[in-house]
Amino acid sequence: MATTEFDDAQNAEIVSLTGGDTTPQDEFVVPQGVKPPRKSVWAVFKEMPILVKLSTIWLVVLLLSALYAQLDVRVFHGSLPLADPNLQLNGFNPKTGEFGTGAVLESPSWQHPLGTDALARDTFSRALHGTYVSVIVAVVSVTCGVVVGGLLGSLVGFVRGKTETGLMAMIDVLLAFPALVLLLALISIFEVRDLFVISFVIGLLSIPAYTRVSRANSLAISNREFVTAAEAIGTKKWTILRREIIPNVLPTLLAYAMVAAAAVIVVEGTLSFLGLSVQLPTATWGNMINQARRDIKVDFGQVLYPALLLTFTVLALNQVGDFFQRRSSHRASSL
Amino acid sequence: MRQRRVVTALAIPLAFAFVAASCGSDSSSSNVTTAGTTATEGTTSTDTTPRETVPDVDTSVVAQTEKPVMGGSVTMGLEAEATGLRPWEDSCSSPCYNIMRTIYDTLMEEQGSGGYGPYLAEDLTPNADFTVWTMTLRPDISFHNGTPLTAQTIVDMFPLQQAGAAGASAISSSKLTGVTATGDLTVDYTLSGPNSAFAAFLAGAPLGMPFDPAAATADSAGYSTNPIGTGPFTIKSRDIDNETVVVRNPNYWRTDADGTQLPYLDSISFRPIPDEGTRLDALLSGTVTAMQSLRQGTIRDARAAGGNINLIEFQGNNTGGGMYNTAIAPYNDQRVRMGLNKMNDQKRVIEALGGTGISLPSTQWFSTDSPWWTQEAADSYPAFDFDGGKALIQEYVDDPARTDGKAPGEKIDVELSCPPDPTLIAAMQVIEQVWTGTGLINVKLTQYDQATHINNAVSDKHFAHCWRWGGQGDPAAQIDPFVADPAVSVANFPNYNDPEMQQWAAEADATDDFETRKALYSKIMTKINEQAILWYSGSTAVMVATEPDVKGIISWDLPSGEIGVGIPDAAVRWQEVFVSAG
Amino acid sequence: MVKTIAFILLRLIATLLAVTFLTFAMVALLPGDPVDTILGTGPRPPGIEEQIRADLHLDDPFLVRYVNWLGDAVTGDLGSSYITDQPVADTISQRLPVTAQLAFMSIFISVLVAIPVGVMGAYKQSKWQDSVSSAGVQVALSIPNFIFGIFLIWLFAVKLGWLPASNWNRLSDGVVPNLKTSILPAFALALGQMAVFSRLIRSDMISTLQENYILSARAKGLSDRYILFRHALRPSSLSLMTIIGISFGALLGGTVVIETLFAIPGLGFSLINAINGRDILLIQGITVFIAVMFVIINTVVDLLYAVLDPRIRRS
Repeated sequence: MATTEFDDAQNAEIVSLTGGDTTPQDEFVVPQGVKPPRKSVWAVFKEMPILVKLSTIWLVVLLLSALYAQLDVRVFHGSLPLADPNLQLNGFNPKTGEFGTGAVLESPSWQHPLGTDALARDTFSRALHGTYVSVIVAVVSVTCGVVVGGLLGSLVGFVRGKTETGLMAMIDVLLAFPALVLLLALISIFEVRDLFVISFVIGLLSIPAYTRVSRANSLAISNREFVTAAEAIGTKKWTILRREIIPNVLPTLLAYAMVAAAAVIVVEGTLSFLGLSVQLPTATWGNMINQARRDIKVDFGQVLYPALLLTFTVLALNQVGDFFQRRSSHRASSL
Repeated sequence: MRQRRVVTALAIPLAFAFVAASCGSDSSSSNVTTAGTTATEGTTSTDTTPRETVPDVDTSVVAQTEKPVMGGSVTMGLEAEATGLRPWEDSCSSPCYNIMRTIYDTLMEEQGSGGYGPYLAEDLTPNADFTVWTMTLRPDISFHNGTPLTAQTIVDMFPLQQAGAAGASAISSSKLTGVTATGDLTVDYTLSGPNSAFAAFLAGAPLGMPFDPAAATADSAGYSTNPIGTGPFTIKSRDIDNETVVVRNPNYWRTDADGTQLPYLDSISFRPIPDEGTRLDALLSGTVTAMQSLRQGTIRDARAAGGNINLIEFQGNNTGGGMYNTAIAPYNDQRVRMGLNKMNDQKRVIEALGGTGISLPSTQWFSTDSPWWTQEAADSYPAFDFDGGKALIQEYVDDPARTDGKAPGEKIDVELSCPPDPTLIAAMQVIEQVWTGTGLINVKLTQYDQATHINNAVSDKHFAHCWRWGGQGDPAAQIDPFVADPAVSVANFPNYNDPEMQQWAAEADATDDFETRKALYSKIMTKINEQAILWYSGSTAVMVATEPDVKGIISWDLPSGEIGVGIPDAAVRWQEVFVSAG
Repeated sequence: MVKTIAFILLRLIATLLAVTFLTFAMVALLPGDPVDTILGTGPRPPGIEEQIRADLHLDDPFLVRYVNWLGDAVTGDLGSSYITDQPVADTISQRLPVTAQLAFMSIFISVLVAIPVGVMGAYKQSKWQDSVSSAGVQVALSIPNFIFGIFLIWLFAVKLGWLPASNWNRLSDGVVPNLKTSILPAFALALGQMAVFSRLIRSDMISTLQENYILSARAKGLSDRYILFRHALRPSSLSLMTIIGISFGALLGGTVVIETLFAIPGLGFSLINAINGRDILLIQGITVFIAVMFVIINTVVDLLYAVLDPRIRRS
């Protein structure tokens, strides 16, 4: 449907975009599989295009600062130079025993690089502390989706038959089931608002999508020459799945996972408004965005900063992800 | 009615828990056009000053001076859709009242001076002990479908009201037991006990809005989309959650002082716009020509939006806050409750709610603008006192006989639960920081969706629980069920059973002397404060904002010429609203 | 053919049974009580709770209630809302056109943007064109859609005054008024999807372009454009079709955030209100409807696989 309907529009666009001065042969030729020698991390880094380099630096800085924030809380009990993310600067300060003189929704300053939020808390510090939660939620739930959904999808797309029918019916049930009902039920079941429980729940809800995407690819790959050939020479099904299907399903799945990661971080913030997320006043990027929303007409920055962090991180993840995907596809000789 | 409002006030923000937006804090104000700047006769403002050094917000009601113009229409953005339009059945809150009041008239109306005057009724007189109320209806009133309104109509409405969810509750709290017609236009309301505040019940939806009982019996569900009343407008179309249009009732019974037939407007279109920011944007962009809001943050944003809109602010008798379940430890010890209350920093909670300079700190059920407000109750509400509060908690913690069974010296556990509304989330974090700051309290913050939150209170599974207090109307309707024996009254959520307060409430029901009743309710509110059964934050500021040419929103009057109460709950009486030609 | 249809129907029925039963069970497990929503928190005359429970059959055992509901549903009676007494079927039929139109428009916009971006991303893999377009869609993705929505309202309604800020004009009011109210929410919804769609297209396309038949097409001297859109796009759209199916289903289930922001009377809005009020029959009705949609759409997607990549048909 898509192809026939939109052909003309795209054709026009693609022509103008490609400009016609490239040598298409080069685009399509895949370097044939000579395994390059293992390189040091530094060598790999040097190999990166500038955008990927910047992205890597961003991710490393982010991880280090999340680590720093965690160290500050867990090891040094707030003695490192970083504002307390939960201290309301206009409220009672247990450390000094006095009431602070801070203000709500302050503009950025040297003291508060990203200003303060609606409760007069240091936004910079909250963003740093929020990194930890947001990254954990994104990584755990996406991993959950990719591993379970990816495996199931690859399997049924390849094996087919009754297994496929049964499993896909179950997936339909999961997809059609109102997520909010499930979430509210889980709130009443799990008293603890554990970070990993939340990540798991989000992951669980995303499994159907991963399953369907990987199944679609698995279906296509299962009929390629190299798979039918492998079957013909009596290779074990499990081996085919592992060697041929999964490696070929993975790129698409990962591409999906990396864009989904951003959505997950925002969803977590939405969940905090259902009471199903980390206990208040813990900061996450998602709940920072959502809590600042009510003041968006007064102080746009408080929505903007966490959203920008999210944007840069997603961009960086995708850049780096693409780079490694390219590298691995250059190495693997699936053709 | 308060009981209705509690649910809906929670329901409205919560229905959109995902996305709810509103409120913040900024005291800057510019280009505020409040309803009036000079207090004239019939204003609702009083001369009392708030306890804190917070600038008062002028929300006085004055008479309309501009000459009304016939014709025109208004599109109003409401904060939610009306649950339904059946007075006897559906919970009605602010947006619903905006629509309902166009279709239905109330028998009585609340006056700016505090009492209730006849509206659709011509007269309402109690007997000596307030157990029988005789109402005389206005002659020659008919419903939109032509059916005349008679005493028999009121009698026939009663079984439906008894069976209706909203009606049953109002009947129960008003002590109404029977309705009999004593003439073509005279009705006797018989009560099971004295209730000097019965008139208030005839000013609200469940009991006070005449509907056509025959049509309602024939098709109850359909009545919601095709309501029939005696009001100034008739329903034209109802597309739920999108648009409800009402058009002028050409046969409306009221005329203005010059003899012009009301209403002035040709039609009104109601558009529910749940998002606070969008609703304001809709007004600013001309998508709607009027809007309402019950959120301080929106009032702040509307003030900042400039002079192109006409802003009408009103301090209603609603206040945020919470309550303790006094049936369980440690909340069954007054020292704990008072300690926690003393450390509840009202000013900062209001700031977190976005209401600084918009909503005033409250100390009782009524706002300072209400005639029921008393200095006595205000003085009894604890001022913010961290050291004093901490000392009380310390006393409890060190008490070998402490009620929670823990060893002396151990921290007490407090669970503070609020619905997951963004403003409440902010407020509870403010409270949490101060309480935790004592080093004596483990505070756990929980949020449950609105249905669970209410159910927890109804079924006594609550601890320290966010709640709303107050409401328009007579104190009897609001305070009596709250202090009644918790074994009988589900509305006594804190489970604080106090015969003395129940006695005062009974005394107040048996007299219609305003000062006596005011003194009795003041004693109740004072005792509630001294016993620290509940806490207050700020009174709910409400607003109706319109394009500059929409007039007459706040200055409606009763047939007697007495000026009305204004726009409590941002519910507009539409019959006297007009679009100015200039 | 008959066999296929029978199979699809069987699957639909099985899914519906499972979904409705699970929903019914979950809602029964939820804390909160529809009686509270109906009665509010005011004084309750003695006996009224019991009466409401009896009227609504809330005290019947769970299985009895489910079977009764199922029996009615089979005959087309989805019941009425506990709270408003409006028939559930009416609520759904009022909201469906709104939600369906919005879903279709946003998918259309997303696909319109995603295909050229995705194809170019693959064709110019790791060239600047790829980087820029990828970055563009990823920025779009990581902007929470309500922020984008607020921005759209501010720009097009408040600043420019071109479009209304909120609410919905039904198609019966005319196509142009309808488009005026639907275009902004459709764009706000499309923003996140176009990123996902284009990434999937790009990724699938990259692997398709490595296939032998593409190389042989090149060897035949066919133009890039022809190869990209005639030979490569079709088999590369499997993931896209899959995710469109899922998105479409999810959009039909409603997009509460955007519906609330733009005050649009859609299904999601209704569902959230029903869940918040524990309005069980309304929850059930909407859930059944969403489940039917999911099964139908996913069946269509499955059939399309074979059309897009004929080799799949073999098995």
